[in-house]
Amino acid sequence: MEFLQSILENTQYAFVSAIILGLMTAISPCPLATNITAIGFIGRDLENRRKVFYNGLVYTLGRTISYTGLALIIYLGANKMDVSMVFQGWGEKLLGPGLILIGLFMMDIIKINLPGISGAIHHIGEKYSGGYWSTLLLGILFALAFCPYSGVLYFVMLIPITVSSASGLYLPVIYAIATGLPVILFAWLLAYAVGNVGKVYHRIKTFELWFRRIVSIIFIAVGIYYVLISFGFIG
Amino acid sequence: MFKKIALSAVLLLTFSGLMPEITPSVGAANNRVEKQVAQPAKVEVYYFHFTRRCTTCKAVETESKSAITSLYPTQLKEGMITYKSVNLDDKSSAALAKRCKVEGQALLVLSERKRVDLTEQGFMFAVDKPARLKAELKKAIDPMLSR
Repeated sequence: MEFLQSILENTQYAFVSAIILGLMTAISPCPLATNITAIGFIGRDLENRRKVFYNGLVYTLGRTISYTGLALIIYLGANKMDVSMVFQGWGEKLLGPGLILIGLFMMDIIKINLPGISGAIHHIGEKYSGGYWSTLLLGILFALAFCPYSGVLYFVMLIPITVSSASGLYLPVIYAIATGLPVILFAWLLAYAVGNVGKVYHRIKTFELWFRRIVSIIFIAVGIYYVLISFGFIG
Repeated sequence: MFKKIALSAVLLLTFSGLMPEITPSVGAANNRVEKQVAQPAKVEVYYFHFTRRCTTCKAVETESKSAITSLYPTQLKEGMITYKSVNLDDKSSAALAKRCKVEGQALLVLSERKRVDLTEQGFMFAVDKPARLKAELKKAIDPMLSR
Protein backbone atom coordinates (compact mmCIF):
# COMPACT_ATOMS: atom_id res chain seq x y z
CA MET A 1 0.00 0.00 0.00
CA GLU A 2 2.88 2.34 0.87
CA PHE A 3 4.43 1.67 -2.53
CA LEU A 4 1.17 2.58 -4.29
CA GLN A 5 0.85 5.72 -2.18
CA SER A 6 4.33 6.89 -3.12
CA ILE A 7 3.49 6.49 -6.83
CA LEU A 8 0.23 8.38 -6.27
CA GLU A 9 2.08 11.24 -4.58
CA ASN A 10 4.67 11.60 -7.28
CA THR A 11 2.71 11.09 -10.45
CA GLN A 12 1.83 13.98 -12.72
CA TYR A 13 -0.62 11.98 -14.81
CA ALA A 14 -4.29 11.69 -13.96
CA PHE A 15 -4.64 8.24 -15.54
CA VAL A 16 -1.81 6.89 -13.36
CA SER A 17 -3.59 8.31 -10.30
CA ALA A 18 -6.79 6.56 -11.42
CA ILE A 19 -4.97 3.21 -11.79
CA ILE A 20 -3.30 3.52 -8.39
CA LEU A 21 -6.53 4.60 -6.67
CA GLY A 22 -8.28 1.62 -8.29
CA LEU A 23 -5.60 -0.80 -7.10
CA MET A 24 -5.67 0.71 -3.60
CA THR A 25 -9.45 0.20 -3.61
CA ALA A 26 -9.15 -3.37 -4.86
CA ILE A 27 -6.79 -4.47 -2.09
CA SER A 28 -8.44 -2.59 0.76
CA PRO A 29 -10.34 -4.97 3.09
CA CYS A 30 -13.93 -4.21 2.09
CA PRO A 31 -13.74 -4.36 -1.71
CA LEU A 32 -11.38 -7.31 -1.36
CA ALA A 33 -14.20 -9.22 0.36
CA THR A 34 -16.62 -8.37 -2.45
CA ASN A 35 -14.03 -9.29 -5.07
CA ILE A 36 -13.44 -12.68 -3.43
CA THR A 37 -17.21 -13.22 -3.43
CA ALA A 38 -17.30 -12.23 -7.10
CA ILE A 39 -14.48 -14.66 -7.93
CA GLY A 40 -16.48 -17.46 -6.30
CA PHE A 41 -19.56 -16.41 -8.24
CA ILE A 42 -17.99 -16.21 -11.67
CA GLY A 43 -15.95 -19.35 -11.10
CA ARG A 44 -19.06 -21.49 -10.72
CA ASP A 45 -19.03 -22.52 -14.37
CA LEU A 46 -15.65 -24.16 -14.38
CA GLU A 47 -16.59 -26.45 -17.27
CA ASN A 48 -16.84 -23.43 -19.54
CA ARG A 49 -13.38 -21.85 -19.47
CA ARG A 50 -14.07 -19.01 -21.83
CA LYS A 51 -17.21 -18.07 -19.97
CA VAL A 52 -15.36 -17.85 -16.64
CA PHE A 53 -12.90 -15.38 -18.14
CA TYR A 54 -15.60 -13.38 -19.90
CA ASN A 55 -17.53 -13.25 -16.65
CA GLY A 56 -14.51 -11.60 -15.03
CA LEU A 57 -14.57 -8.96 -17.74
CA VAL A 58 -18.34 -8.50 -17.50
CA TYR A 59 -18.10 -8.08 -13.72
CA THR A 60 -15.53 -5.32 -14.26
CA LEU A 61 -17.83 -3.78 -16.88
CA GLY A 62 -20.53 -3.67 -14.21
CA ARG A 63 -18.19 -1.81 -11.88
CA THR A 64 -17.31 0.56 -14.73
CA ILE A 65 -20.98 1.36 -15.31
CA SER A 66 -21.45 2.29 -11.64
CA TYR A 67 -18.32 4.40 -11.21
CA THR A 68 -18.72 6.20 -14.53
CA GLY A 69 -22.46 6.67 -14.00
CA LEU A 70 -21.92 8.27 -10.60
CA ALA A 71 -19.18 10.53 -11.96
CA LEU A 72 -21.44 11.55 -14.85
CA ILE A 73 -24.32 12.36 -12.51
CA ILE A 74 -22.02 14.60 -10.46
CA TYR A 75 -20.48 16.13 -13.60
CA LEU A 76 -23.94 16.95 -14.94
CA GLY A 77 -24.75 18.91 -11.83
CA ALA A 78 -26.02 16.55 -9.13
CA ASN A 79 -25.01 17.70 -5.68
CA LYS A 80 -21.79 15.85 -4.92
CA MET A 81 -22.48 16.20 -1.21
CA ASP A 82 -25.85 14.42 -1.48
CA VAL A 83 -24.59 11.65 -3.77
CA SER A 84 -21.51 11.06 -1.64
CA MET A 85 -23.43 11.05 1.66
CA VAL A 86 -26.05 8.57 0.37
CA PHE A 87 -23.56 6.07 -1.01
CA GLN A 88 -20.95 6.40 1.73
CA GLY A 89 -23.62 6.23 4.40
CA TRP A 90 -25.82 3.48 2.98
CA GLY A 91 -23.88 1.44 0.40
CA GLU A 92 -22.20 -0.82 2.88
CA LYS A 93 -25.25 -1.16 5.12
CA LEU A 94 -27.37 -2.47 2.26
CA LEU A 95 -24.66 -4.72 0.87
CA GLY A 96 -24.69 -7.19 3.79
CA PRO A 97 -28.41 -8.01 3.71
CA GLY A 98 -28.22 -8.05 -0.11
CA LEU A 99 -25.44 -10.64 -0.13
CA ILE A 100 -27.28 -12.81 2.39
CA LEU A 101 -30.43 -12.67 0.24
CA ILE A 102 -28.49 -13.58 -2.92
CA GLY A 103 -26.85 -16.48 -1.06
CA LEU A 104 -30.21 -17.72 0.16
CA PHE A 105 -31.66 -17.52 -3.35
CA MET A 106 -28.65 -19.41 -4.71
CA MET A 107 -29.19 -22.14 -2.15
CA ASP A 108 -32.86 -22.28 -3.07
CA ILE A 109 -33.80 -21.58 0.51
CA ILE A 110 -35.88 -18.62 -0.68
CA LYS A 111 -38.06 -19.49 -3.63
CA ILE A 112 -40.67 -16.77 -3.63
CA ASN A 113 -40.72 -14.62 -6.72
CA LEU A 114 -41.34 -11.03 -5.77
CA PRO A 115 -41.31 -8.17 -8.26
CA GLY A 116 -38.86 -5.27 -8.14
CA ILE A 117 -35.71 -5.49 -6.05
CA SER A 118 -36.13 -9.08 -5.00
CA GLY A 119 -36.58 -9.91 -8.67
CA ALA A 120 -33.14 -8.44 -9.35
CA ILE A 121 -31.66 -10.29 -6.38
CA HIS A 122 -33.25 -13.48 -7.63
CA HIS A 123 -31.73 -12.81 -11.02
CA ILE A 124 -28.24 -12.54 -9.50
CA GLY A 125 -28.81 -15.61 -7.38
CA GLU A 126 -30.12 -17.70 -10.25
CA LYS A 127 -29.04 -21.30 -10.17
CA TYR A 128 -28.17 -21.55 -13.79
CA SER A 129 -25.66 -19.39 -15.50
CA GLY A 130 -27.92 -18.47 -18.40
CA GLY A 131 -26.27 -15.21 -19.38
CA TYR A 132 -23.91 -12.54 -18.28
CA TRP A 133 -26.59 -10.27 -16.83
CA SER A 134 -26.30 -11.64 -13.32
CA THR A 135 -22.54 -11.02 -13.29
CA LEU A 136 -23.02 -7.53 -14.73
CA LEU A 137 -25.59 -6.74 -12.05
CA LEU A 138 -23.26 -8.07 -9.37
CA GLY A 139 -20.46 -5.76 -10.58
CA ILE A 140 -22.83 -2.77 -10.57
CA LEU A 141 -24.09 -3.50 -7.03
CA PHE A 142 -20.68 -4.29 -5.52
CA ALA A 143 -19.19 -1.06 -6.89
CA LEU A 144 -21.99 0.99 -5.34
CA ALA A 145 -21.33 -0.48 -1.90
CA PHE A 146 -18.78 2.08 -0.77
CA CYS A 147 -16.85 1.28 2.37
CA PRO A 148 -15.33 4.07 4.51
CA TYR A 149 -11.93 3.79 2.84
CA SER A 150 -13.02 3.15 -0.74
CA GLY A 151 -15.54 5.99 -0.39
CA VAL A 152 -12.72 8.41 0.34
CA LEU A 153 -10.59 7.08 -2.53
CA TYR A 154 -13.47 7.53 -4.99
CA PHE A 155 -15.31 10.64 -3.79
CA VAL A 156 -12.41 12.62 -2.30
CA MET A 157 -9.53 11.66 -4.59
CA LEU A 158 -10.89 10.42 -7.94
CA ILE A 159 -14.04 12.52 -8.44
CA PRO A 160 -12.35 15.95 -8.16
CA ILE A 161 -9.87 15.13 -10.96
CA THR A 162 -12.68 13.50 -12.97
CA VAL A 163 -15.30 16.23 -12.92
CA SER A 164 -12.92 19.16 -13.24
CA SER A 165 -13.29 18.90 -17.02
CA ALA A 166 -15.10 16.74 -19.58
CA SER A 167 -11.77 15.24 -20.61
CA GLY A 168 -11.48 13.65 -17.17
CA LEU A 169 -14.60 11.51 -17.55
CA TYR A 170 -12.57 8.54 -18.82
CA LEU A 171 -10.82 8.25 -15.44
CA PRO A 172 -13.58 6.26 -13.66
CA VAL A 173 -13.31 3.67 -16.45
CA ILE A 174 -9.59 3.21 -15.71
CA TYR A 175 -10.30 3.24 -11.97
CA ALA A 176 -13.01 0.58 -12.39
CA ILE A 177 -10.75 -1.69 -14.46
CA ALA A 178 -8.08 -1.40 -11.76
CA THR A 179 -10.60 -2.26 -9.02
CA GLY A 180 -11.70 -5.31 -11.00
CA LEU A 181 -8.17 -6.36 -11.92
CA PRO A 182 -7.84 -9.05 -9.20
CA VAL A 183 -11.11 -10.57 -10.39
CA ILE A 184 -9.99 -10.51 -14.03
CA LEU A 185 -6.68 -12.14 -13.03
CA PHE A 186 -8.34 -14.86 -10.97
CA ALA A 187 -10.93 -15.43 -13.70
CA TRP A 188 -8.10 -15.92 -16.16
CA LEU A 189 -6.31 -18.29 -13.77
CA LEU A 190 -9.51 -20.23 -13.11
CA ALA A 191 -10.27 -20.38 -16.80
CA TYR A 192 -6.91 -21.37 -18.17
CA ALA A 193 -4.93 -22.83 -15.28
CA VAL A 194 -7.57 -24.52 -13.12
CA GLY A 195 -9.91 -25.19 -16.03
CA ASN A 196 -8.52 -28.67 -16.57
CA VAL A 197 -9.25 -29.59 -12.97
CA GLY A 198 -12.78 -28.38 -13.60
CA LYS A 199 -13.10 -30.75 -16.52
CA VAL A 200 -12.18 -33.67 -14.29
CA TYR A 201 -14.64 -32.59 -11.68
CA HIS A 202 -17.27 -31.98 -14.33
CA ARG A 203 -17.66 -35.73 -14.67
CA ILE A 204 -18.77 -35.90 -11.09
CA LYS A 205 -22.29 -34.55 -11.25
CA THR A 206 -22.45 -33.59 -7.64
CA PHE A 207 -19.45 -31.29 -7.87
CA GLU A 208 -21.35 -28.48 -9.53
CA LEU A 209 -24.07 -28.63 -6.95
CA TRP A 210 -21.57 -28.54 -4.11
CA PHE A 211 -19.55 -25.78 -5.72
CA ARG A 212 -22.68 -23.62 -5.96
CA ARG A 213 -23.47 -24.39 -2.36
CA ILE A 214 -19.98 -23.29 -1.34
CA VAL A 215 -20.37 -20.06 -3.34
CA SER A 216 -23.76 -19.51 -1.67
CA ILE A 217 -22.16 -20.00 1.73
CA ILE A 218 -19.42 -17.48 0.77
CA PHE A 219 -22.16 -14.98 -0.12
CA ILE A 220 -23.97 -15.53 3.16
CA ALA A 221 -20.74 -15.45 5.21
CA VAL A 222 -19.50 -12.24 3.55
CA GLY A 223 -23.01 -10.81 3.93
CA ILE A 224 -23.00 -11.57 7.66
CA TYR A 225 -19.51 -10.02 7.88
CA TYR A 226 -20.81 -6.83 6.28
CA VAL A 227 -23.87 -6.72 8.53
CA LEU A 228 -21.63 -7.12 11.58
CA ILE A 229 -19.14 -4.43 10.57
CA SER A 230 -21.60 -1.92 9.14
CA PHE A 231 -23.87 -2.05 12.16
CA GLY A 232 -20.96 -1.82 14.58
CA PHE A 233 -21.02 -5.34 16.05
CA ILE A 234 -17.35 -5.79 15.17
CA GLY A 235 -14.67 -3.16 14.51
CA MET B 1 -19.93 89.71 1.58
CA PHE B 2 -23.16 88.29 3.01
CA LYS B 3 -22.79 85.30 0.72
CA LYS B 4 -19.24 84.65 1.97
CA ILE B 5 -20.32 84.86 5.61
CA ALA B 6 -23.26 82.54 4.99
CA LEU B 7 -21.04 80.02 3.15
CA SER B 8 -18.45 80.11 5.96
CA ALA B 9 -21.18 79.56 8.54
CA VAL B 10 -22.60 76.60 6.61
CA LEU B 11 -19.12 75.04 6.20
CA LEU B 12 -18.32 75.60 9.87
CA LEU B 13 -21.59 74.08 11.01
CA THR B 14 -21.19 71.14 8.65
CA PHE B 15 -17.64 70.25 9.75
CA SER B 16 -18.26 70.94 13.40
CA GLY B 17 -21.18 68.49 13.19
CA LEU B 18 -19.16 65.85 11.38
CA MET B 19 -15.87 66.04 13.26
CA PRO B 20 -17.03 64.45 16.50
CA GLU B 21 -18.40 61.54 14.45
CA ILE B 22 -15.30 61.02 12.39
CA THR B 23 -12.85 61.06 15.25
CA PRO B 24 -14.39 58.28 17.36
CA SER B 25 -15.08 56.09 14.34
CA VAL B 26 -11.42 56.18 13.30
CA GLY B 27 -10.51 55.40 16.88
CA ALA B 28 -12.93 52.49 16.91
CA ALA B 29 -11.43 51.13 13.73
CA ASN B 30 -7.98 51.30 15.27
CA ASN B 31 -9.28 49.50 18.31
CA ARG B 32 -10.72 46.78 16.11
CA VAL B 33 -7.38 46.33 14.38
CA GLU B 34 -5.63 46.15 17.73
CA LYS B 35 -8.12 43.59 18.93
CA GLN B 36 -7.58 41.50 15.78
CA VAL B 37 -3.83 41.52 16.34
CA ALA B 38 -4.21 40.64 19.98
CA GLN B 39 -6.75 37.88 19.29
CA PRO B 40 -6.09 35.90 16.12
CA ALA B 41 -8.99 34.17 14.38
CA LYS B 42 -10.26 31.03 16.06
CA VAL B 43 -9.33 27.82 14.28
CA GLU B 44 -11.65 24.83 14.26
CA VAL B 45 -10.43 21.39 13.28
CA TYR B 46 -13.10 18.81 12.48
CA TYR B 47 -12.88 15.14 11.72
CA PHE B 48 -16.20 13.93 10.27
CA HIS B 49 -16.85 10.21 10.15
CA PHE B 50 -19.59 7.60 10.06
CA THR B 51 -20.31 5.11 12.85
CA ARG B 52 -18.51 2.41 10.91
CA ARG B 53 -14.85 3.24 10.53
CA CYS B 54 -11.95 1.51 8.85
CA THR B 55 -8.45 1.22 10.35
CA THR B 56 -7.22 4.18 8.30
CA CYS B 57 -10.25 6.23 9.33
CA LYS B 58 -9.45 5.65 13.00
CA ALA B 59 -5.81 6.53 12.36
CA VAL B 60 -6.85 9.83 10.74
CA GLU B 61 -8.61 10.82 13.96
CA THR B 62 -5.89 9.58 16.32
CA GLU B 63 -3.00 11.13 14.39
CA SER B 64 -4.65 14.46 13.63
CA LYS B 65 -5.75 14.85 17.24
CA SER B 66 -2.31 13.99 18.56
CA ALA B 67 -0.68 16.39 16.06
CA ILE B 68 -2.90 19.28 17.15
CA THR B 69 -2.32 18.48 20.82
CA SER B 70 1.45 18.44 20.43
CA LEU B 71 1.69 21.43 18.06
CA TYR B 72 -0.71 23.83 19.76
CA PRO B 73 -1.08 22.98 23.46
CA THR B 74 -1.43 26.61 24.56
CA GLN B 75 -3.90 27.56 21.86
CA LEU B 76 -5.97 24.51 22.70
CA LYS B 77 -6.06 25.51 26.37
CA GLU B 78 -7.01 29.07 25.49
CA GLY B 79 -9.72 27.87 23.13
CA MET B 80 -8.09 29.46 20.09
CA ILE B 81 -8.00 26.03 18.47
CA THR B 82 -10.71 23.44 18.89
CA TYR B 83 -10.70 19.83 17.74
CA LYS B 84 -13.94 17.96 17.29
CA SER B 85 -14.73 14.49 16.07
CA VAL B 86 -18.23 14.40 14.58
CA ASN B 87 -20.30 11.33 13.76
CA LEU B 88 -22.29 11.95 10.57
CA ASP B 89 -24.73 9.19 11.49
CA ASP B 90 -25.92 11.31 14.43
CA LYS B 91 -28.83 13.42 13.25
CA SER B 92 -27.67 16.25 15.50
CA SER B 93 -24.55 16.64 13.34
CA ALA B 94 -26.53 17.51 10.18
CA ALA B 95 -26.47 21.29 10.67
CA LEU B 96 -22.73 21.36 11.36
CA ALA B 97 -22.04 19.09 8.38
CA LYS B 98 -24.03 21.43 6.16
CA ARG B 99 -22.23 24.49 7.49
CA CYS B 100 -18.86 22.84 6.86
CA LYS B 101 -19.99 21.60 3.41
CA VAL B 102 -19.06 18.05 4.28
CA GLU B 103 -19.46 15.35 1.62
CA GLY B 104 -18.65 12.34 3.73
CA GLN B 105 -15.65 11.52 5.85
CA ALA B 106 -13.53 14.64 6.11
CA LEU B 107 -10.66 16.28 7.95
CA LEU B 108 -11.22 20.02 7.84
CA VAL B 109 -9.45 23.07 9.19
CA LEU B 110 -11.69 26.13 9.38
CA SER B 111 -11.16 29.71 10.34
CA GLU B 112 -13.48 32.66 9.96
CA ARG B 113 -12.73 33.05 6.27
CA LYS B 114 -10.74 30.02 5.22
CA ARG B 115 -11.55 26.35 4.77
CA VAL B 116 -8.78 23.83 4.21
CA ASP B 117 -9.77 20.27 3.33
CA LEU B 118 -7.09 17.82 4.48
CA THR B 119 -9.13 14.65 3.94
CA GLU B 120 -6.89 13.40 1.15
CA GLN B 121 -3.71 14.05 3.12
CA GLY B 122 -5.28 12.50 6.20
CA PHE B 123 -6.06 9.24 4.46
CA MET B 124 -2.77 9.20 2.60
CA PHE B 125 -0.47 9.80 5.55
CA ALA B 126 -2.21 8.87 8.82
CA VAL B 127 -1.12 5.23 8.85
CA ASP B 128 2.35 5.23 7.31
CA LYS B 129 3.54 8.84 7.52
CA PRO B 130 1.90 10.60 10.48
CA ALA B 131 4.70 13.20 10.49
CA ARG B 132 3.59 14.30 7.02
CA LEU B 133 0.03 14.71 8.23
CA LYS B 134 1.30 16.76 11.18
CA ALA B 135 3.24 19.00 8.76
CA GLU B 136 0.16 19.46 6.56
CA LEU B 137 -1.92 20.45 9.58
CA LYS B 138 0.74 22.93 10.67
CA LYS B 139 0.91 24.37 7.16
CA ALA B 140 -2.83 24.95 7.19
CA ILE B 141 -3.20 26.24 10.76
CA ASP B 142 -0.16 28.53 11.20
CA PRO B 143 -1.24 31.17 8.64
CA MET B 144 -4.72 31.20 10.16
CA LEU B 145 -3.31 31.88 13.61
CA SER B 146 -0.98 34.62 12.43
CA ARG B 147 -3.75 36.58 10.71
